[in-house]
Amino acid sequence: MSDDVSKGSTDYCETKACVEGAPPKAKPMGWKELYLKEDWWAIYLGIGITVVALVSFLSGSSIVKSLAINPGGLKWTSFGQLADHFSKNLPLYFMQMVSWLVIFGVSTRIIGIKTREFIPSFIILYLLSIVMFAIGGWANASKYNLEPPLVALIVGLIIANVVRLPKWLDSGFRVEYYIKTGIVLLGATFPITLIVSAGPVALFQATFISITTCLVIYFTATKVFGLDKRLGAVLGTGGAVCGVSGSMAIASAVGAKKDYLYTAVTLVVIWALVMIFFIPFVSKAMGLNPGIAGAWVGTSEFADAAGFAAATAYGKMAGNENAAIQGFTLMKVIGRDMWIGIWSFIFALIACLKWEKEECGTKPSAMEIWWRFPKFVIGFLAASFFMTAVTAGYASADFSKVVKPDLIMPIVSLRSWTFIFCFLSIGLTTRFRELKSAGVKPFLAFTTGVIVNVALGFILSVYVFGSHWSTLGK
Amino acid sequence: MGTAPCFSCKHFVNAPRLIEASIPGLNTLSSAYASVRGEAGLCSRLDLFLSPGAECRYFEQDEAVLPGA
Repeated sequence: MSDDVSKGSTDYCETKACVEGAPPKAKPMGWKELYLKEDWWAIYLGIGITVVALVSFLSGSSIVKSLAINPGGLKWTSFGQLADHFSKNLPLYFMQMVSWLVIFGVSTRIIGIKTREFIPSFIILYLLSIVMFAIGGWANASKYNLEPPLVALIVGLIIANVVRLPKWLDSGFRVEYYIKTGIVLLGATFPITLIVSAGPVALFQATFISITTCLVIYFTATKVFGLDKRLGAVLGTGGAVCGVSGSMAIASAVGAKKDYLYTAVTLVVIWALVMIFFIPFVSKAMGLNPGIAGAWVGTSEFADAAGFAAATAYGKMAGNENAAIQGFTLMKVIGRDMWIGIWSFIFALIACLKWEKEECGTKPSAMEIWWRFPKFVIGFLAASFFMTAVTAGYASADFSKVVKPDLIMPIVSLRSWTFIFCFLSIGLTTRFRELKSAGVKPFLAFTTGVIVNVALGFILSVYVFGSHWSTLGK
Repeated sequence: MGTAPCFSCKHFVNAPRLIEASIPGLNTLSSAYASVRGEAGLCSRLDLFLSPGAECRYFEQDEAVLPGA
């Protein structure tokens, strides 16, 4: 490994003459964000699908329920059964694929992805997803740990690293877009009352772990290994808050070298992949309650997409996917993701007021917190509030007998599709040969944080708040 | 040489597609199309990842983002 990430500095405008000679300023994106960022599109699609499902349910139509078909629950024992299922439902699968293609195709076109690249790529992704669901629907799948998230990830990794797919196919492998859409759909099946009751514990646990991990990585990087402060900040937030997204936000806030961000990307991707397998299998070996394991994943996994893969996989292993997903979502989406903007603002202030006092151009604005805010969280909360309010009038028996099978389960199935698109895309976009050689010192600094994060996450989730997390999913 | 926010500098590259192309692996667990990136981008002259409001002495106006252009 090379060690080319030594101390560096930015080169800001320093003199009065330089500042006064400023040319006209261009307009920033502003409201265009509403149609140029995938977060907003995830909200539109998630809420839109929920509203269509609700209208279909209230009008007595079964169109959404039919289109939400997936072979994951078949429990087939022979290929004949599987073939029979597909031959009977081929038109539905075709209509479903076209529906996904249209909504994702149009929205990605608007944000700037080439449609001629997206369409063939998405069709490949959809067909592979059917295979993943079919594997998960085998009656003996769980006996052999063939959980769809893990299988999808491994299949994707093999294809990406053995077959060497052309780079343009990445246009359809939009990991983040699919997981964000899935998270908003998840909100539609996530009671707002649970967020209100369990949210404070999640926020406390997340805050404690985020601050601790970030500081451990930062001080190990800068004080122990003598690395640049900016690299320490980029690695610290990558390990503590939200993986690559956290690193990207902080890299721009402190004006880091591109190489620093590249280093963080490599370390986060490698460790996130390790944790997708490590946490579920350790949890299984220890027989952890799925709610507790979900909270542990939410505390110690680095990115939403990777975390959902780990939580879903363990939920399936433990026979209570809902509990694991709820624990993960509360810890990661509610507890940790919302801190990106705050960390970004804090580091921007530190960089401006302490690291480069005389070179700081425009002072950071508190609006940074809003600009960096992962907006899809708003969609998750809105969907949760909306569906909780809409279904509040149903008696418990009616909810179980009518609302759950005809409204909630179709939304859950559509969410499962977006998740499997995401899990496959993680594997399909991970090309180990393209990852940067991180350097020994950054690797050790980040790994120290990983060890602290995983250990603390385990202690907090199992011993300190275990009784709290174990009540989820009931 | 004058200065202004990097956003209107010809060395500043913040098209999501180009950012993802220049940092392989970024789209594996994140995205340049995400809100968290804001309008941050790469400085092709100094090889830095910067917010659009950053400033430096090497600023050169990008004619394509001049007001009214």
